[in-house]
Amino acid sequence: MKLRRLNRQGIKKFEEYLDRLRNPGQKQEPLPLRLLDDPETSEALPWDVELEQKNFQNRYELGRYLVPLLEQCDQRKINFDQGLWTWLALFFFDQLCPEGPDGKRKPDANENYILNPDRRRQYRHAVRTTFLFVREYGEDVFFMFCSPAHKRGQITEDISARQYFLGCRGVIEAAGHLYYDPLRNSPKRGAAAKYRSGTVRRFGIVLKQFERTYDLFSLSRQQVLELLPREFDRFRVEEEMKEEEKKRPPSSFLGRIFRRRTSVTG
Amino acid sequence: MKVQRRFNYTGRGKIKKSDVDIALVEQPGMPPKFEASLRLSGLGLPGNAPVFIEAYQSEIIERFECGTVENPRLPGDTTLWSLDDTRPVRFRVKVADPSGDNGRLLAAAFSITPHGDEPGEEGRESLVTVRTADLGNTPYKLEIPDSGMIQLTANSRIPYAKDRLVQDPVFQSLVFPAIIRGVLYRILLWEDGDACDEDTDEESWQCRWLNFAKRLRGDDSEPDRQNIDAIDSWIEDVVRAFSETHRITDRLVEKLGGGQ
Repeated sequence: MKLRRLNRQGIKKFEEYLDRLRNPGQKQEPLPLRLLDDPETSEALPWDVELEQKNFQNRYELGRYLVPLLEQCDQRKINFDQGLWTWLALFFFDQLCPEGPDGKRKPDANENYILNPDRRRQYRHAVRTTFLFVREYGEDVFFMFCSPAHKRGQITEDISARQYFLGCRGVIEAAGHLYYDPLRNSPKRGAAAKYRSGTVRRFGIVLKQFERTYDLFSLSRQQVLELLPREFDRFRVEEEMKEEEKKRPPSSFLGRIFRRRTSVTG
Repeated sequence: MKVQRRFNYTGRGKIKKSDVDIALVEQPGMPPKFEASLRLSGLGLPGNAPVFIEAYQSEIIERFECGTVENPRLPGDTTLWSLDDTRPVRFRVKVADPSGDNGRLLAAAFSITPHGDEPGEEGRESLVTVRTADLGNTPYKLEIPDSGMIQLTANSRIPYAKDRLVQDPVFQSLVFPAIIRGVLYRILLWEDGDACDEDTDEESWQCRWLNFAKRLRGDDSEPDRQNIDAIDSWIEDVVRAFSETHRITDRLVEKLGGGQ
């Protein structure tokens, strides 16, 4: 199907559909895919982009699929185009919000599918955020989008909420280094926990505190990692921990015991 | 009470706002761009230190490379493509360590308001910027940013919405006390306890609002932020003082009695 954008009417109807899905007494209805090419609810775009329905293992694959296709579009024009991104979310809705074992779809908040006009909330859009990060960083952001396509994930939330992180290569690479487990091909256990030290949430909070004294945009991955305090040690790669240990010889028996305990990662 | 620690172990210097002039320039059919002039030569900074200007709204930042301390220059395109042109924009100026070894900032200025957006008449600073936009059926909305100016958006579907806010007693009686309460509750219950601290921008909107409230109350004290009753009482004193000073209800009654 050729890429289009939903107009105001189309967005409204999609929104109404999402709201009906959440009504427990409501019968599940088929996806309103007719909105995608009905001239009453959609508009043509100046670029000729053909899309196919594909089965994506995760959002990263969705991003990889879209990046070359949308390259031909004027990136400035599509960046904040509510109709376009909402159209894409509807097109891929079966993957972003599949039917459960009970045959029902349980959508997340509407702004995951309908691009919020408030730019401060646009990071929540499932397709747009994935596209922007994958376009910029490729496989370096696999750790953010490696969950199944219908799952947003706390790591995505915590990193993309600070929208300027998109422009901080060292920060993104450091996050991947800390929180991605290449052996399991998934985020490290505990990385997304909300109230523990060293997690992705804390990563964003701690870096914000350094903003007044460091230029986050120009830091390399290594510089970011060196800035982070010891609470992040449990996510550092083991080789790196050994290097750190060599630089900080323990001064006491208790110091050696403590350091041995905190060197466990994951 | 939320406590935010700030680290300045690197001895980062401060660029005064008087050393920076930034103005927004409208461009028909496009987002605005900015123009800037920087006076960094007397700050003792290395001449080859790179300079950056960042335009921001909350967590959205648009960053521009602006030459060096000895040779500052704006890039060819300073259009703010990523920012929402219906909301206030603020700027930061940063000078980074030229060695590239550590990513440190040598000097910075934060929360710079571009010309045309802030100072009121006779040097008084506004506490709120006012704009209009189509808000559907919502008469107005108040946006409280992380830094910069509070923005009041009046619904453009209301005829002469902006003028009514400034002049119409009916509007003012409905809107102003609510704004004052909303902002002060936000500051006292959510914002940093050290809103006017030396390491914070002393012209932060939190600081200006607190000073405004204290002037109205005629008292420099602040309420105990752990005591909600004390906060309620303090804020109501501010609303009462504001309403007395500007005869909010008197003017409303006069307007309504006039049959208009």
